[in-house]
Amino acid sequence: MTVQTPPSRRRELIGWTGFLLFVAMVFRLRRVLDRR
Amino acid sequence: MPGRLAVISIGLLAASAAPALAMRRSYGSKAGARFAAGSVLATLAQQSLVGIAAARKNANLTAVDAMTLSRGVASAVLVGLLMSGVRRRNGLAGWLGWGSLVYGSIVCDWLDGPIARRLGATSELGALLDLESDSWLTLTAASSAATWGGLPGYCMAAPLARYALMVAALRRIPYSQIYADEPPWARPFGIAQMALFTAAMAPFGAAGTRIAVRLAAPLVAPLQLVGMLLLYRRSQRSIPT
Repeated sequence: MTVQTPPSRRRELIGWTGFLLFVAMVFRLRRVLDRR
Repeated sequence: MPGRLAVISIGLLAASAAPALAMRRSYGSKAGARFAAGSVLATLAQQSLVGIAAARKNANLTAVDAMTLSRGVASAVLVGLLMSGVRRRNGLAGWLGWGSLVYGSIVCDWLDGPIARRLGATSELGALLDLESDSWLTLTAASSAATWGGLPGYCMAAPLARYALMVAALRRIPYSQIYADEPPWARPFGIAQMALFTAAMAPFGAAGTRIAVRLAAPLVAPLQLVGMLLLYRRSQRSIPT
């Protein structure tokens, strides 16, 4: 059985914030590429 | 044509070499070898099917198609992780799987279409590769999320049903007609499902993420399955009598 140490709440918050910023960046790039 | 396919295939295989070496270093030679075998097999299977599809359509693979097919590296990494036997949401394996999923489902999926349109490189083959690589990534992500992301096994039902329903539909209508007229709700449903897999596999996911995943899974997975069935019914209604 694999024991996994759960990440802290702080790490979780930083992780999701970074992820959402990344998603927003890719979404913006998509819109720029689609602009004619 | 086979030249371009070979170049892209070598590129995809080379891209999964670094993760295989990293897996070997972190989890031992057995896990590394299993990972390499899984990812190489997945890539070769994908590229063989791509070769058949391109030959049937008598079409050339473009640079944008190579980007679409790079989503296959993400799927190959997930297959490799499943084969490796390493079941860790955090650590190298977890980050590798999650990073691959984010690349495949967000960076590649969202950008290959706009790049193709901007370059005037849209094609029927490109649309097919986009749809199929997306479905394959969804299936490998569902398997991973159920195996080491803590999601219940029933979350694999919709990605599996997609293939079963496609085979059933192909008996009566051509492939090009099955997904020709997707309703507006199909994409948000797909995004919700991929968001669930992304959250389940997130290496930084703590108690809050686990609660959200546990609450969302019984809603998102059955909804996606119903969506698949509705899409199938819709495709059957389009058959001229």
